[in-house]
Amino acid sequence: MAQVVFSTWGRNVVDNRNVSGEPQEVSFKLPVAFDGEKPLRAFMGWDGIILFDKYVDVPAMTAEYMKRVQTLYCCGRCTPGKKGTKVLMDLFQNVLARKATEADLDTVGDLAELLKNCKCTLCQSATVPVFDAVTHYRADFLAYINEACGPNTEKAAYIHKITAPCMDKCPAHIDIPKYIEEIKNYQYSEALATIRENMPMPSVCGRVCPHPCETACRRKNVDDAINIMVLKRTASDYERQHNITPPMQPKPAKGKKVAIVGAGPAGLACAYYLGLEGYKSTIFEALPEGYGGGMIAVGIPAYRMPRPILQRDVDIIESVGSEIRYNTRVGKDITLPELKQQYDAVFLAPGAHRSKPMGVEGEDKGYKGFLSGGIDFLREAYLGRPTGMGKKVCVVGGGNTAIDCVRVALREGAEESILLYRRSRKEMPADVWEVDGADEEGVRFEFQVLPTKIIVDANEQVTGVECVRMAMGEPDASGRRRPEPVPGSEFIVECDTVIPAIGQDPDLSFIPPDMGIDITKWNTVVTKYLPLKDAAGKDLKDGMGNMLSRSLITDCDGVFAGGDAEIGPLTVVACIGNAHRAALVIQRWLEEGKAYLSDQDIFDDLLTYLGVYDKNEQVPWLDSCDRANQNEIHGRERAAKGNYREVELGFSDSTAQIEADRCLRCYRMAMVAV
Amino acid sequence: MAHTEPSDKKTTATLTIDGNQVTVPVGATILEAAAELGIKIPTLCWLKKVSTTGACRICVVKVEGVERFMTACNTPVKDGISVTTSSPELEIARKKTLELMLVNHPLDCPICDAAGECDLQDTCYSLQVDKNKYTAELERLPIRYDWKLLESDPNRCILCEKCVKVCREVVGREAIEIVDRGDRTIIDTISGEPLDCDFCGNCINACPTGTLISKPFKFRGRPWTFEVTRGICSFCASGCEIEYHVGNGRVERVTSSDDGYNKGNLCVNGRFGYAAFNSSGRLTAPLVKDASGNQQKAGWDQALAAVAGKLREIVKAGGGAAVAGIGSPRVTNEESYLFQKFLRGAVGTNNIDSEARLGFFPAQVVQYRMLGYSGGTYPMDAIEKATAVVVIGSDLKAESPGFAYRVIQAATKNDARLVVASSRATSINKYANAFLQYRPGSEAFLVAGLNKALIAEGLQNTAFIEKNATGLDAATAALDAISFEQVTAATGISEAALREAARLACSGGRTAVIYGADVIRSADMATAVKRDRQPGAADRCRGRSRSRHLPAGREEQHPRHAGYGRLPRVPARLPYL
Ligand SMILES: Cc1cc2nc3c(=O)[nH]c(=O)nc-3n(C[C@H](O)[C@H](O)[C@H](O)COP(=O)(O)OP(=O)(O)OC[C@H]3O[C@@H](n4cnc5c(N)ncnc54)[C@H](O)[C@@H]3O)c2cc1C
Ligand code: SF4
Ligand code: SF4
Ligand code: SF4
Ligand code: SF4
Ligand code: FES
Repeated sequence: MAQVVFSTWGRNVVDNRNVSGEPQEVSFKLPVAFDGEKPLRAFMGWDGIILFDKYVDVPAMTAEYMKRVQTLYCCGRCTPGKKGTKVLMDLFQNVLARKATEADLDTVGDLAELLKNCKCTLCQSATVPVFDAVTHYRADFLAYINEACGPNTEKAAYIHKITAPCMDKCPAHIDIPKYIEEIKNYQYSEALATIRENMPMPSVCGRVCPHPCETACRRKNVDDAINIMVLKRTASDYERQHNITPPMQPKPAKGKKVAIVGAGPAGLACAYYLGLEGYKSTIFEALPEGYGGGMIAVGIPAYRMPRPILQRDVDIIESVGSEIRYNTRVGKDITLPELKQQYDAVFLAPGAHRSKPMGVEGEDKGYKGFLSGGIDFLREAYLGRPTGMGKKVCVVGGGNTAIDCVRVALREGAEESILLYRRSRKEMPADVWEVDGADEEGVRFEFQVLPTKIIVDANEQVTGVECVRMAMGEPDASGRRRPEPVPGSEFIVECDTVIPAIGQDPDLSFIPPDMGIDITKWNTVVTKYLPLKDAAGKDLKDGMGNMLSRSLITDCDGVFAGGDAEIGPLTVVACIGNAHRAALVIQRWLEEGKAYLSDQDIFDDLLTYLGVYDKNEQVPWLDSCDRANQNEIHGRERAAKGNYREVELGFSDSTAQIEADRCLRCYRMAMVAV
Repeated sequence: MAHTEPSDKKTTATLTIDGNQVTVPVGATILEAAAELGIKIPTLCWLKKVSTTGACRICVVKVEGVERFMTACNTPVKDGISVTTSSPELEIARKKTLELMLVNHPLDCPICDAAGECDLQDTCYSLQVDKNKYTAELERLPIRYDWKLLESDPNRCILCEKCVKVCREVVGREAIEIVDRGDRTIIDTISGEPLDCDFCGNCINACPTGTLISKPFKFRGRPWTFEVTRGICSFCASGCEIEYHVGNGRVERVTSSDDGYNKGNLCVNGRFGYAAFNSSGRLTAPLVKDASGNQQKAGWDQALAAVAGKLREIVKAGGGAAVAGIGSPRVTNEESYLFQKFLRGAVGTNNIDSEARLGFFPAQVVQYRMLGYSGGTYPMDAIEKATAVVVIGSDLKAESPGFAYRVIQAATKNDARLVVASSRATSINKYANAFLQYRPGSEAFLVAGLNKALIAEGLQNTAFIEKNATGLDAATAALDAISFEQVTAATGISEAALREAARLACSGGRTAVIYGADVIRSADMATAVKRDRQPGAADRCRGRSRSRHLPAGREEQHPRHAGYGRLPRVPARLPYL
């Protein structure tokens, strides 16, 4: 078990360097080996230093850290940062060159104090571990200054990563502070270019992203998060509203080609990044032309994501080097082995399009008015096909899909739209603003009810759902209270249509079992991963329970997988982040014959696991500018029959500029010694 | 946390600064609030006319209850806060920051152009920064001697970003950027190639140090030695306020104050055009021909006497009409007035002309006849407050940069929608929400098409028209007489594009319409605004006769002959600024 030799991480000093008895127990959310092999010897960053190996040369590491901050990331845009880190860098180089004096070390503390006045956190936060180092490893610095031989150490290699709390939390790792600053500086096109480096569907994610980044926005510690999502929309709206041709120029074609299954965000993102690198791809899509975008086109309603705007993103991606073959289902119109044979690599991104069963009596009887599932209902509605919906619609579920269903039902002309959910409003997995939106449009909610039986008339037409009320039961062994049915509380909700919106699974039936592609018990594709383990020997996993650091190649050589079908049903941004990585790995595979993760990829995963945002951090700042929120159309008419007009209206540029000025630019650099 | 909708906001905030209470609008900065009280906080990177930067960190203040110092220049005020602008801690922070700023600064003040008007010098002096305990390896960055008109010594740069922001936010050129990292961060072109820009020199004006300097001014004298004369630039109609710096009888530079009407912003003509004054080919004294016909330098009295005598002779012999006066288009209205007064009253002739007649004048005549006034309806700064701007037939920045700068402000800072209609792409196109690239010479059709689209979309401001104008029905009827197909055939612009442009042009209710040389010089300009015209009249007066070459019969359908000429007052009247 890796022992922490010394740490100041979290501003909490743990010193096991010279203890005679039991060393102090402390653990960090870090793997014992950086990539599963190279032992992690030390970690250095905005919140201190952690040493796992006592032979790490702390002065050398400190000097390297400061040098990288000053020469690679310090933006020079504030005096203390620009000059202070230069003075510090040279000071530490002088230590290593044995040209410094002991008095020079005092300057470190003085500058650490002065750099608190920096404009952003990069240079300022860089003084934290550096000051810790000279404070707690002073003897090692003095050894360089005064002695001939320096401290007793072993040489290390260093890997660094620039991050910010929001950037880390964004599954696509968009350089959020950069594009926000560009908006603040009226550089909308530059902002969009920054966004596109990690997000090829900015108009989509500027509208429908659940914006996990905002949950990790450091401005929250002052007042409210920056409106990161709408600022993204602002940048993409600007390009469209000024008729600007997207500037991306793909590299010259490199001759190899890739087949992609599915034109959802994952497939499109992979095609985009491969295209920029000069790899042409062909996307095979089961849906008809005009429905590029996968679940964005057939799941997310147009009042949240206007279709012409989605189509523009799709068109731009296609223009960068891919071709979408619509009406082509892999497994039916062409087989996967054929793709594998005809293309140099295959990327599977078929999403999750099979509705989960609801587990209620009568659901498998084929009753009239009992629809197969929320996503099927939405798809048929958008495709303009008969949905089978009547006048009184009951949707069962508490997620975003269920909300989309009740709101679309109104727009499809339902007289009553009812949502049945097992738990309370607060516990709904759907986003609060979505629930509020449905409320405003007149959706009826029945909380804490469990549908038990579908009621039909003599013609097997649905006439209602029998439900039972739920209440919180006694805490179970784990201390969690689960909702339990209240005996005798049965009642009937009258309706002519029932739509289960419980969730969806990938449909992987197009993958022949003999290809060696493994599938999990949740029906997702298995991909290769790094054996990252914590000090206790446990595998590191991500928020979805998947292995933390995956290279996205399947067990079948040359076949890669991503998106909902690999992660499990999640979000557009998660699928795009994951597919961007897949594109990078596929490129390595095409060029070097090896599918591997770069140090930067791995570092991304490690930071996500460690967490960059600290909700307990005291952020001294004057809370004198409130968060700006976008306007929206109000009133029930917005959900009138056939009215799919966009509900949210975005920002004016001037509002965006003021909102962008709230950003604290929370950059920081992490570095490891291996 | 709310997802949509702004929260209700108070409109003012009351705060205490150094013990004094002040009430300012919400959104004002601490710096602005302090200024209300007459409290001066030192600044180096703050520039009123551009967005805040927060780079120098000199303006730090203490806000009670906030653990770190806040920068006054970019921190909005909050109701109830208490701010201290001066304390020993703040002085130390400012001083140390300046010490850092001076690390490796060349301190070549003796030969620096900015000496005597350098904000860095002044700030260090007033904060008594007389030593520096910080040091770093010295690394000198190359000086850009290879730029035209401007020279840049990045070693003197304090990275206040003023130049970059002025170039981007005011001039709209985005020619210079902050490049590189760390202590090597400098102002340069993005490509690193020599500067290729508008050469307006507004960055030089904004630069608080001797980093960006004017090459023609280099070593022409210390700034404090010149006699400064205020004036109005006469290169174009923008009316920018300028200052001539004169020494030894030469104009050595032109500057402009940020406090003026044009906020210190000039164009290449205003800033560098003074070279003409110093030209050796310029007359600096009157010349009078001697008996043998050679021109000789003379005193003013002698010269004027000679002119007066000759004029008298001519008038006596041939009458006043024997004399004609040609005025300069570059003189002021007042001077032109005096000139014609002299010719009419003293000489007794009506033979007066000016090159100005060939420029804006024809448009003025038509506009006066149609609208009853010949100039703009509002002072030009109203452009900045417009909610939509329509620019027709003008490469605005080339014709009248002062107008272009204001359009840029409206479009970028005040959310105005911009419609540009021109036969060729212009430098303000990048801000345009719609660009109507019409066939050269089809300005009248374009304007008619826009009006037609506006009415078709029901966007006219009926209440305003009822109150202020007559003849809407006739106008509509006249427009009805032309079809969108005809407009499209003439201009090359589709009906959909016209409708979209009309919607944009009417957004917000305060539209500014600016028309330029292409409209004025257009063959069908008169048609664009004129009522009751005789077929062919405009062509004759412009000396062109395109329509006469039309085959017989076609002439009848040609919209210029088919009722459009009877358009009453409409094109120039509808814009309701
Ligand atoms: C109703 C609903 C609302 C949602 N709202 C949001 C939201 O607001 N924000 C958000 O971030 N996420 C939202 N999501 C989730 C998001 O849409 C998905 O996570 C994302 O679209 C998945 O991307 P993907 O590329 O992996 O797959 P998909 O988007 O599902 O795309 C897969 C594509 O592959 C095609 N395909 C499948 N099998 C084959 C085959 N064999 N041959 C050819 N083509 C095939 C499918 O037709 C589809 O077009 C929502 C999901 C749903 C269902
Ligand atoms: S990175 Fe931040 S702290 Fe460093 S110079 Fe730039 S603005 Fe200042
Ligand atoms: S304040 Fe800005 S940089 Fe900091 S976490 Fe929020 S969005 Fe990111
Ligand atoms: S001279 Fe004008 S256009 Fe050129 S860099 Fe300076 S501000 Fe920009
Ligand atoms: S060149 Fe002048 S104006 Fe521009 S950043 Fe440097 S000091 Fe400031
Ligand atoms: S004037 Fe405020 S930071 Fe420069």
